Amino acid sequence: MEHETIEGLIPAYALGATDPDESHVVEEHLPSCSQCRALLVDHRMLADDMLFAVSPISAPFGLTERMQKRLELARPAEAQRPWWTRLRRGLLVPALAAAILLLVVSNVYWIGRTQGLERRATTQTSTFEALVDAPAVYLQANTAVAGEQGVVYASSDGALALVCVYGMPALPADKTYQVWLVKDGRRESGGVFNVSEYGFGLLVVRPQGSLDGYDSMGISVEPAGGSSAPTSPHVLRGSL
Amino acid sequence: MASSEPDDGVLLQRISAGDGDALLILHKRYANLVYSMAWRVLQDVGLAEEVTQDVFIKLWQQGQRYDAGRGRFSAWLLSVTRFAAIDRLRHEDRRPFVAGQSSDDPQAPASLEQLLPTDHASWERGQHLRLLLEQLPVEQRQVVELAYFGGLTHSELASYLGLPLGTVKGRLRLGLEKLRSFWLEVPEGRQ
Repeated sequence: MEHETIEGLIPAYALGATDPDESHVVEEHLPSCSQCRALLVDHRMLADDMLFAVSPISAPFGLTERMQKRLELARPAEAQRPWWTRLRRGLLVPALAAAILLLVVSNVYWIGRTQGLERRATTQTSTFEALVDAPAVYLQANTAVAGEQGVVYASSDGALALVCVYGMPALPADKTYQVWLVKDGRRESGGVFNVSEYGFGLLVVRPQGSLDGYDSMGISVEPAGGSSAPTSPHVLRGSL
Repeated sequence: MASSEPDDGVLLQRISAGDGDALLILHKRYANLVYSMAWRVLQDVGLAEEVTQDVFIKLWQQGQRYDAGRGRFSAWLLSVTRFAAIDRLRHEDRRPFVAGQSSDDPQAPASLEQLLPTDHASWERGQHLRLLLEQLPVEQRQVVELAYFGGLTHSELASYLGLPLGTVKGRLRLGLEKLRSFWLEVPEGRQ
């Protein structure tokens, strides 16, 4: 499609009034056309101001009192969520410490049972211990819509990392999130994971080499089971 | 807003900590503005009230969704309200309001004092824009308002108005370009 034709779609696109095929054409054109990008900025600002272009009307009498009644019936979603979905960075360390404690206790039990299980449990404990003191690397959303974010805790020897994401949209059954480790433009899969209905997800990544050898980490949406190479743009990304 | 009252950011933090009183303060501050947008889209007292209350309940349950780095709270709240009202319009299978139609149930206008505490500059620009919209030829104003407040796309506008797709596209483009020209001439435009 010609530049002039696409330029003519920009005002409607800024308003959200283009049909899906037209939106696709505009989005493909924008990265290469500064003129259309500038026009889009103007029309987006116009659209923002139109939010306030409504006639001022008084809300019905007693609305706040009715709100108060509804509020008494509706607890914040935060209080209704399972405890583990409310973990944030500040709580991660104590949560991991509690996990270690549980593992140690279970180890003590299993030590008396078999040497093999003892060795395995000790390895798990050291895995979590390595992550407790790990520095955090933040993953940013490509186009943040609902507060998507991620944090990576990498062990000091770079042998493993814990990826935590928050505010991610839940995916349909035929899709999954996949972690990619990027080095010199090559992408290596770090594993797949899904998120809870509240957008929280966790994945332990064990790279082939040390994490220090990678440039960045990204997360994309892939078909269930994962892909050998990304098939969609990253939704979260961060430099390692 | 009186200087002793906490600002929006403080109230949002209190809301995410589960403080219902903070939500009621915010409700009192913004209910007229939110209701004005809901009523503009839905043109129905009962539905507009339901959407208004739903917006605040969602704020109570998902207050962390607002990102202060992406604009003023009042603009974000109005944007959320517009989308919620358009969703409700579709869910109820109602026809969007067309410019020039008279409402069956005219509402009491709110005094500026009741609305200005929200965001003086944005409100002023928006009201100026409302006057500029009225200067557009009615057929252009109709498609601009149906697209913005009715959430209709080009093809939906053509179907809704019974007009060829090209005619609708041309009217919307011309209307928005004229509006932009008027708007750029306003001293406080583009701020």
